[in-house]
Amino acid sequence: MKTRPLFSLCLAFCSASALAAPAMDAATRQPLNLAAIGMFLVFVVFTLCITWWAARRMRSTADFYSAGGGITGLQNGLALAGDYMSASTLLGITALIYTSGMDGYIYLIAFFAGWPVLLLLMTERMRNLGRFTFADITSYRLDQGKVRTMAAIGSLTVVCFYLVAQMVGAGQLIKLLFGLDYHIALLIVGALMMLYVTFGGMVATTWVQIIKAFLLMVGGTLVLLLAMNEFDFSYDTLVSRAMSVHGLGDHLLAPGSLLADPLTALSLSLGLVFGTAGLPHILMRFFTVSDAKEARKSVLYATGFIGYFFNVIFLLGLASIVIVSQDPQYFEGGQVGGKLLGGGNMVAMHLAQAVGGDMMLGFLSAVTFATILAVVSGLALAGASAIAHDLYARVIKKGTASEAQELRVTKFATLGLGLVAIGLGIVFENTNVAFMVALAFGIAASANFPVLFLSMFWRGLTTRGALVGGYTGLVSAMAFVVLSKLVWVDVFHFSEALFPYTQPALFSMPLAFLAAYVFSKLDHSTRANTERKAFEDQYVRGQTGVGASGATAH
Amino acid sequence: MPSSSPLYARIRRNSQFTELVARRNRLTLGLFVVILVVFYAYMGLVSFWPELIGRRLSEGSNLTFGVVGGVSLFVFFCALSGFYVYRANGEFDQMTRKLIAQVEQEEER
Repeated sequence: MKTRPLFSLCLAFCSASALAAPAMDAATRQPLNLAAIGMFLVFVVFTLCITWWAARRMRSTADFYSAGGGITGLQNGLALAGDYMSASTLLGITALIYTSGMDGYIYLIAFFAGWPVLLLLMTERMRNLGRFTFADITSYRLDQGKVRTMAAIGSLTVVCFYLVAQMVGAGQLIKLLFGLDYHIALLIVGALMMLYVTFGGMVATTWVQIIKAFLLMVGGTLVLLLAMNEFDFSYDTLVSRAMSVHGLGDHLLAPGSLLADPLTALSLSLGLVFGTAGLPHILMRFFTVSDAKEARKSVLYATGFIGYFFNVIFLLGLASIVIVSQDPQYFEGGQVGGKLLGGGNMVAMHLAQAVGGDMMLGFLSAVTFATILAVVSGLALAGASAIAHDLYARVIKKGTASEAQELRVTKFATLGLGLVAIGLGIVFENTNVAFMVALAFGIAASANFPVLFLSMFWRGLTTRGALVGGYTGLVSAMAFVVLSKLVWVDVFHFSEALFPYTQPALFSMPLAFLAAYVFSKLDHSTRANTERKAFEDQYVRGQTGVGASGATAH
Repeated sequence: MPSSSPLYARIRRNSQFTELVARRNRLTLGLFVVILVVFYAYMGLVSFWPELIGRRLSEGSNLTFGVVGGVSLFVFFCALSGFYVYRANGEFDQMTRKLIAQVEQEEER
């Protein structure tokens, strides 16, 4: 466990593939899980009904990109929480706590700390300045063509890497949970994702996300209550028994080796905190509510839900140490302490089975499948928006495209992204895709976040600075990840990594900021002066919301 | 699309705007610094004083400094977010509404 790259442990779904990879042979493939498939079908039918309902109301591009701004703060809060609570959080971090104890909890804390930062720095101004995508804000007073293209490229890169990582993880996981073939699993995920997004747009995607977030919290809470029942609902008893059976003993709740290196810990936490503020599918959710007030509320709700769920996960991990690790039926060949059935990431599933029987296992499996669908749909929507709104309507057509034309492009873009995701999912089936999530977060923190942040907070930013800064972040984050152990050793099989850290943010993010600053400062063109002057109006709008896009009425 | 520039210019010149921005920026910056300090203090302890994270609050108790501190962080960040939203959605939004009403009145004159 300790030799695996940090990121494969929790951030991604790809952790499922990384950990479960050795167990991928047909022997460990689960028998067809009928209870799980039944419950999942109910979810699919229900969400397709919502998609049909949403499709009938979808008339404008605003409906497609931002649900017409008609989502309430509470609904959007649940959807935001849903975007953040992926299946990997439930499975990967429960597994991490199961093996390493406290390290898992420290991860959860670092993972959580991005939210108050998002609230303070981004929410209000983003909602006041933007309409559909974060590129609206990056290019607000700068060169529409060049800066928007740069922002859209950053956005699409993040979406693609994240999407492929999710697809590969999803295929492996569904194979394990449902006993379906990998390719069929990919096709199902890809097809449903395309249906939700092309027909239902942001409305359907948001509702899929809301329902899934709700189910995930209910499922987690149920398993927790059933498990805590075995410890008389006493944290003290739980910890005593966990310490008595775990190999770490009394050191179970002391930090382990994963975060021992301060620079790695720092780079990881920077990537998590500021990467969150650069993820396009999270940022575009701010535009689905009517105004800054609702946007703030939605982040507050999301913070609460995520905080609650993360602590549930901590307790689930501790409970599984006692309940799962001593039960021979969860180990290959019935050997306690040997290899877990289905791979390390199955801990949460085994716990559900142990305390709630096959029904609970089926329910949690169905929720996990729903989680994957919801997250890939959000990503596909963010990607389609970057293509249709930023690249097609604003850069290529320069604002002359009609709504109908733009809407048509969103559909083709979604279908294209879906096909790319399925195709790459098949190509990368047997690759360790952990690097893709490191890349997604690294690029989000280094390419998207710095320029977006500077465009809102620093009057000095010019087109030249934004371009150099954005591309510097993009290229350096990619280069650092490729030269790190994640790609150089794990994918290309070189013996030693050229860059010693698996997380690029500590280095690539300051580089991007520095490049944007220096090249803006050195820019003395007349255009740069106009751009600096335009900051004044942008500042007023960002602060007051005067002129901000409102909700469209139906 | 940015609406009329003269309106923005009038808002900018209004003393209420200066006050709103100064007060909200002070609050935002203060809270942001608090978050970073608290969070990196915790991460610093994890890196440089791991024994403390694993230490029990008292002999025989299963509550450790790390977990109690972690739970407090979750609660504190939620409370801090709640506090900011309370101020921003109440006091600051009210100031904004007043400011806009005043500027629009000036415009009519």
